[in-house]
Amino acid sequence: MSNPQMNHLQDNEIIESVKKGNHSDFAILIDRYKNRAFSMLLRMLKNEQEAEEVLQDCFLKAFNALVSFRQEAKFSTWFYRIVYNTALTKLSGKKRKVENEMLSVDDYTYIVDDAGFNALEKKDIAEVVTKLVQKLPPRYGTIVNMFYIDGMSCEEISEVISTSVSNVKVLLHRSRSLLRDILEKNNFIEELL
Amino acid sequence: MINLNDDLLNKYIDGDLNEETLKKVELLIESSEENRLKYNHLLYIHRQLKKLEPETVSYNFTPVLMKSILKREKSLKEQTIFMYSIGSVFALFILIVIGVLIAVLLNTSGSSKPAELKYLTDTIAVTGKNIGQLLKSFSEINISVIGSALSLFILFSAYFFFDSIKQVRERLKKIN
Repeated sequence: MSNPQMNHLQDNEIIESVKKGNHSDFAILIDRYKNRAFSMLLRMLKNEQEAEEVLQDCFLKAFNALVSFRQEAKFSTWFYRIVYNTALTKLSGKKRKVENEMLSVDDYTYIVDDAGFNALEKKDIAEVVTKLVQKLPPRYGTIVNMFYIDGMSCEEISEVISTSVSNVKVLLHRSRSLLRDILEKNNFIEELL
Repeated sequence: MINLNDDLLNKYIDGDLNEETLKKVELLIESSEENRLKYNHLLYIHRQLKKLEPETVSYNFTPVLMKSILKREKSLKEQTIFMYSIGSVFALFILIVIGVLIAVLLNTSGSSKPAELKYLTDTIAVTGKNIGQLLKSFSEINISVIGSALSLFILFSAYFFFDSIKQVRERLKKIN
């Protein structure tokens, strides 16, 4: 659908092309961001089908708003802000609680049960970590996703979720410590080190 | 003496400490087995998280989405063209009416009427007469042609009107 020769182009070059009327070039941006944005939505909504539907909405919103995008910020930051806010709207619509405070490791015993630790081999640590991140509360899971999968800086993350950089760091540190506590409690780490 | 807590260790891993604190933390890590284990566990989690891979959407996600985007764009373009053509027809009609009125005014201005009021009433009377003649031309055979065109216009308008309502409903459904 899109011109394969354009795949190497920067985001802003593709955006210019789309603005000029080459709408099919938008497919390059979709391909570039769909999986990472999907991961983020999955961490927030915890449901694949819902995440994919919301992702479609986000791309449609981005396409419609592309004319007003002035490229003062990076496309990725701008787009992730759309994704994050759309997911929040979806969550608030479902009256799910978007947590503000991290609970202790003891409050997360359900994560361990849900992740099916007993069925997993100790060598599947990557799978265990992936499952644990998926079970993290939406905000924490999103930050972990943006920091580790998207390689975004704390400054960029703070722009996306509209909070301070120090708050992003606090949330990131808490997520890390919580994951460590869960793995320690289940004797996953000591055997691997 | 500083206490080696998770906050410090996390900052140490992220490289967010100043040189002085960094050295103190390094000393603390090396000084006790417990601290070393604490640090290693956190570092291990950090490295595992770095290996995280993004999830993947369904294989036909992009073509399906692009199809709907392009279809929507095409429909929007068609609606714009339709609105412009309707606008042009109306503009043309209004121009014709204005033209007729101007012609009428120019014709009547030749007859000399001294009083300004008299002139105005005469003009209104002549304009009314002309509009009456214009309306007469819509009678009999012409009326059926105009009626058909008008029906067609109403049908088209209704189609686009209901189509846009449908689209708004779908969007609202998605939002909800």
